[in-house]
Amino acid sequence: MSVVLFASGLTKSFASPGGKIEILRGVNLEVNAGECVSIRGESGAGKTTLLQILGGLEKPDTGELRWNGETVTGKGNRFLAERRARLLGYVFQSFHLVPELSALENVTLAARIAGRPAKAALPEAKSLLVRVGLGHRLDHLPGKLSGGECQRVAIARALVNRPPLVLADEPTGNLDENTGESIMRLLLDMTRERGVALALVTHSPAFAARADRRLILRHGELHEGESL
Amino acid sequence: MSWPLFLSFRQLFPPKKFPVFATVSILGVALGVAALLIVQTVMNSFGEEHRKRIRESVGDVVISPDFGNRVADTPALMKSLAALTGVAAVAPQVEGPVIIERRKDDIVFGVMRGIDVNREGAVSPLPSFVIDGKFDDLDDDRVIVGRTLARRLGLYTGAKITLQSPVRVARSLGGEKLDLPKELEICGLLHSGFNDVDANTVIVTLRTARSMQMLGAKDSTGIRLKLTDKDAAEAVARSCAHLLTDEISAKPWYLFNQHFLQAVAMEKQMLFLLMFIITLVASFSIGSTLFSHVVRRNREIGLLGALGAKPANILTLYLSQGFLVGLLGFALGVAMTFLVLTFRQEIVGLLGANDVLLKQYKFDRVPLYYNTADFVKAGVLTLGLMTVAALLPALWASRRKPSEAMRDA
Ligand SMILES: Nc1ncnc2c1ncn2[C@@H]1O[C@H](COP(=O)(O)OP(=O)(O)O)[C@@H](O)[C@H]1O
Ligand SMILES: [Mg+2]
Repeated sequence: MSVVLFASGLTKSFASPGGKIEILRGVNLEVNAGECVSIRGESGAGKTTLLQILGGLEKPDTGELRWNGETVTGKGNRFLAERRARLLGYVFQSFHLVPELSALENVTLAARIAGRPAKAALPEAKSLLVRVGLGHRLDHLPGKLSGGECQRVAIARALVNRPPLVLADEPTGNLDENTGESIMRLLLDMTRERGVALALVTHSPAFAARADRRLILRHGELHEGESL
Repeated sequence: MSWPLFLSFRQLFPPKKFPVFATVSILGVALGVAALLIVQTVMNSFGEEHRKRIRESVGDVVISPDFGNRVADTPALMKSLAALTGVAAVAPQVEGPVIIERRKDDIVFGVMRGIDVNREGAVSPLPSFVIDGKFDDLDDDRVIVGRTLARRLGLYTGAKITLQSPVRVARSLGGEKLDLPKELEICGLLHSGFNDVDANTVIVTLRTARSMQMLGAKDSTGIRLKLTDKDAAEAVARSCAHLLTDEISAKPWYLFNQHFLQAVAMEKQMLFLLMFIITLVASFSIGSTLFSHVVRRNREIGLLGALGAKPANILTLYLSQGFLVGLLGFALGVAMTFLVLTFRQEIVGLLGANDVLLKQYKFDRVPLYYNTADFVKAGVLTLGLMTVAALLPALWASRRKPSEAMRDA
């Protein structure tokens, strides 16, 4: 089975007034194609930082990172941007939709950034939005959508380029319990249907339990396990 | 359309929302452009109008005596001048001061201009300036009087005046026996629009003028040339030299009132500089507005980075917003310029400045000559400044780390 995400010995520290804080102290991680991995950890443990490093948005101090077998650590911004657009999908806690674009345009924007013509991505974007239950809201602006609906758009956007891996940072963190449940089910189902690997950061043990593999971020390292 | 341009447009003109940023910035640019173009065009128009007036009244090239008061053997000289390349037409003139007598003891001074009725139309538009009568009716018993002069004296077409010249008066005082001045009938009024001319001039035939000035049948006070190419005035003037005696010279039209024309050109340049500074100040404020517009989108910039946007894309996204603001502002500014200048006469009227125009500039209408170069200059300037104004915020945005931009959430 191919490894879509490989990380070894990732470290990261931030300078703070009280001296250097080590957030990550040697993270090792392998995610196989189509695999769902959950990551939990206390607030401030460094989960977001880890996900940003895994997604190439932040550079690790040391360690190696590979996407689809290709080493990306030490590469320039242009290279990272190009690979990121093709290989990764993101779902954030606070949706991050472009407010001036309709639901459909938000989804096709990701395709256009990845270098695909808007027209070519249109059928796929539409069918994804239908699949997430927004077939009747294609032309709505984010401001006219509820939180749950926004996150559905974000899920469609994360999948429109058929990436092998989706990174999700507390995707239900801003949603109420019922909405969160349906969003989580949608995310898990859709990645599974498409054979897309998912690295899921979540607070909820219940959601984490649904992953193929459950990891805990503690003291800057990743451990297999259930409890913090 | 590439996605940065698409998004750029959307961010400037968000759907279902009043585009505050775009409106304010575009209006700002438009006002600056309009101010610059209106000032430049007005200056240009005054300059052009003066040039046109000078050329119309003196001709493209003028042959006139530097010493003495006459050009002798005018017909022969005209013949050789007409044969020169670049000369379209020639016409003689006899000019001099004149005393206009309406009734006994009711006199004013004026300028008399004697012309060749058959040739004048070929070198100047004078025949077309005649109102209340016909230019063609001018003969040795008739006269055309400047419109303003006529109004001042209570004269009208059909009325009669007598002309007397200082030369004749001087001769009479010297004891010479001269004919009594002839009575002339007004056969039309002159309305050139140039107040200096309309308020002082009487037009008579060459023969009348010669007898006033006590000149011989072949004498004139000057010969005016009309050229096939009006920009060739200097070259033609030079090529005339070998036909002329030392006492007579050929001058291109722009040597008349030269200093005045230079002053107008200088004023135009100074005003351009002033307006440029104003535009510069405006572009600074638009630059800072654009900066806050970009900073407010910090999180979106991070998101675009996360989606795989390259720094160059982000740069394009915000540079193009500056460029678009510049472009639309310029277009609107040009439209405002046309609008304002179309109603220039009314605006001057509202300002109560019609009198000033007449007195200071001798114009009875506000002239209008658009100069393409002014517009090109303003366009390049605006687009350049706006793109530079957008450069700083765009660079700032393109250097944002996506992770940092997203943290601000
Ligand atoms: N750019 C940064 N500069 C300094 N400290 C940071 C930066 N990013 C994150 N941190 C710190 O790193 C720690 C981990 O943050 P984060 O990864 O957001 O944790 P989590 O997502 O697990 O709550 C926090 O203490 C946070 O303040
Ligand atoms: Mg976090």
